[in-house]
Amino acid sequence: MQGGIGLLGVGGGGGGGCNGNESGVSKVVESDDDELELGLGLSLGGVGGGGKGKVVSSWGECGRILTAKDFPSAGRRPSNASSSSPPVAVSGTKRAANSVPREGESSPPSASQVVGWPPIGAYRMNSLVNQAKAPISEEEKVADEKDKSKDASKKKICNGNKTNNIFSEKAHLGFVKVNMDGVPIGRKVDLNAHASYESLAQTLEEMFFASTPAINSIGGEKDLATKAFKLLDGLSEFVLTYEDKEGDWMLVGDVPWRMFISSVKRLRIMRTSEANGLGPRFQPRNDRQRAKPV
Amino acid sequence: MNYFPDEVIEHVFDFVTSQKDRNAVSLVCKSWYKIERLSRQSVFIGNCYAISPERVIGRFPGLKSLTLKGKPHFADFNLLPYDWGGWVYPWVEALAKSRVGLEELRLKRMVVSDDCLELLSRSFVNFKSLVLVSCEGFTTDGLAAIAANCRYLRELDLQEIEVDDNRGQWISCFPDSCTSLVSLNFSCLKGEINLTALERLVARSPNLKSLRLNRAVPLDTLQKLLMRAPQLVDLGIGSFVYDPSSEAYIKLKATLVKCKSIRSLSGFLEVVPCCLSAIHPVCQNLTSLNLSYAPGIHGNELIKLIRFCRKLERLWILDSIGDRGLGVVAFTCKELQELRVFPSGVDNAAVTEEGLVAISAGCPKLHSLLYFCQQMTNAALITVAKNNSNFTRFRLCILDREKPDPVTMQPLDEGFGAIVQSCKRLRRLSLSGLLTDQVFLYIGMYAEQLEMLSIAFAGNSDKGMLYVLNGCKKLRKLEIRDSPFGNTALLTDVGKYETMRSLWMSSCEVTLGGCQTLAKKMPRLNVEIINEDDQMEFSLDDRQKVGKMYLYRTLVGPRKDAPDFVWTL
Repeated sequence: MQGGIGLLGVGGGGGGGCNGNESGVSKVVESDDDELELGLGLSLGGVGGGGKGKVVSSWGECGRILTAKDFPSAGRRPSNASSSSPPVAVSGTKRAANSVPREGESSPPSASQVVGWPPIGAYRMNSLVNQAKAPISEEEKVADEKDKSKDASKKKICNGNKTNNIFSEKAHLGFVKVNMDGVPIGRKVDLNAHASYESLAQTLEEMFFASTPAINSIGGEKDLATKAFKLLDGLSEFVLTYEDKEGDWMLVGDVPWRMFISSVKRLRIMRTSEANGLGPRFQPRNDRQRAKPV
Repeated sequence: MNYFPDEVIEHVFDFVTSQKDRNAVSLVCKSWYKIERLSRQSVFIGNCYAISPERVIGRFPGLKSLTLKGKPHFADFNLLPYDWGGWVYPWVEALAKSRVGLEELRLKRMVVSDDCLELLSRSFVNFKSLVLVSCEGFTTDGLAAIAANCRYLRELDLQEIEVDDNRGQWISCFPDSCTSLVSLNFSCLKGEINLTALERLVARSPNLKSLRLNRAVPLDTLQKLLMRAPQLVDLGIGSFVYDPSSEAYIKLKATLVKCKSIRSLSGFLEVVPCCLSAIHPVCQNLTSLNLSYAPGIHGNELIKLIRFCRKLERLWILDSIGDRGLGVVAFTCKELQELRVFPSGVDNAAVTEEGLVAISAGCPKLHSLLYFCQQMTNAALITVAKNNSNFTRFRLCILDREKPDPVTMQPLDEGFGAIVQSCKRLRRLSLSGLLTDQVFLYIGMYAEQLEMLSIAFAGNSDKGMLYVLNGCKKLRKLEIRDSPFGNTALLTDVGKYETMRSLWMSSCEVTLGGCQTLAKKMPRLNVEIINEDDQMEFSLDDRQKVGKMYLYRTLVGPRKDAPDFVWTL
């Protein structure tokens, strides 16, 4: 087996593509299954255009929609579950019953929980985020006055008042483009709305693989779950990759989340068969289990 | 009707410059229509899909300057999917095929390809001016074509554009013979720029009045450029990073003092905060200052700077200036007409109602406002309305969605009501905070000149939207998101939409059935359902709520370039 190429189901080819990534254990967590089933079953659209349908009311006739409230453990704060779920940037939040509870929250209210709010132009938002991320400390800048490359400023450490900065906490450009092999229209995803690979993958799965309301029923969820395109564990037909600031294409999931979002430029959902040379670093669950002594 | 020969009338029409007036003139009689259309040089098309390029060219063969707008405003906030539309290529192609001697093209929210720029650069001998605002789709290769081929280029102005690919060599493509530049703005480009070529370009452009640099232009180059162009009126500084004891800085200070013509300053895309004192000599003559892209300048530094800016008419700043800083602005800038306060993202830096009240009291000429704040009270808004009834543009964004008056816990209906009642010339309004149908009752009653209204997370029922549609006779653009307005509001007065440019509704209560009814009744509207999840195609359930709807009047029917996820009913 060539260093995990088998992970991708691709024969041959060297896995030399990844440079200097820490070896990462797969970050897929067990509750992912529940969330995925939930997610794939709920993409009813219409309400808020693509986000998880958290509102049960108008869809009562389609059968009861399971919401995150039914799964209080799934790694999310229950107080947020009734409104826009934090990792998913829904394009609209129903107002009436779901006023976002801010009183109980300890962290500063995330400005990006809803797409397009606050209404700052995307260009301005991106420039503020980038600048907040790499503030200039006087001493360093004087020393580096000649060195104006983006890389240099990118590597400077954040210090000072940045802990309170809404934009720097998100630490990156909001929206990056996502393209999927075989789909002509690209999409954009707000990385600021996610705190982990799982939630990102989930959103992408909903975006690109969500099924239609006509076939969405509780019964249908099972089918979708088995076909779940789990973009992170390399078992499915597609794999999630990204282009970093140096222009290299890497597999998503290698590096710590913060490092990932500070270097990602855009995403691509690639056919697994084409993703050779991207040097995987971790084994799939199955392989690991097989490797364990029985 | 004609007592004078056509030439005389035409000469009179030369003095009629605003498009609105010229449109009125053209309606008087057939002969005036003909004279007007043949002599019109400058055409503004607010929605590129309302009319076809061929018809515009047919009507205005003498066209020299064209302004086009593409995507709706909410596209700025990522509410519109990529690839929705707004391609300008067909326009340039049509113009190129015709005999129009295009000299100026101004585009906003349109998609411009490199091919398009190439075609543009080769098709119009006298092309002079290209202004792109919030556009996308091209690389610096396209800019290189413009630089290389437009021999009499006067203006190249790029605003708020993300250009992916920037190799910086496009600036070398201006031929040595190009000496006509008056305005060059590339501040939004992200990558490197060939500094030598830039210096030489500026050196051979004696008419250069406006120069806005990007981050890649360091301080010593700035100093050299200013030496070559002391006549500059508008300067955008790229990088303002230096050691205060260095020779470069000392030279710059000296050079800046010599630039007595600078009236407008912007940029500071990279700045060492505590050393803005070099700018102080320039401040006393400034009428326009934009520090909204300057990160991390401490409030105190900003205040020190503002104290010198007595003649300021336009100020764009970050909320790190704080309420106290706004108090200084109110005290110092008595000529202020336009103020924009943007969020810096730093929690405790935000401004509140106090800053706004101070400004309204201190700046009697203020008429245009964009204010992002932490909170607002009804009392403050009522005071602002009392202090200042001149507002033509009033855009308030309370960062916390649907936040009520923190003192009384009431919605902000009364506050905004006071604003619209007092400001009789109000043309543009953006609302925020907790709002009920009542605010819309006030808007419908008082906002007689209102042309553009932005609503988000507001209202209780269809009545809200109906108040606006019924009351605001001059309404042209209405954009609504996440508000409980449904089919009744949409369908009560369908004729209204032909008097408007466009209506945007997203995450509201309108259903597919409602939109279809509207589309059937009004064939001269394009009712577009923008659907990102391919669900509408499969489900024809009329009761299904529509995620995003954008409708606009048009003379040319459904557009042929709509992507798959846009369904024109």
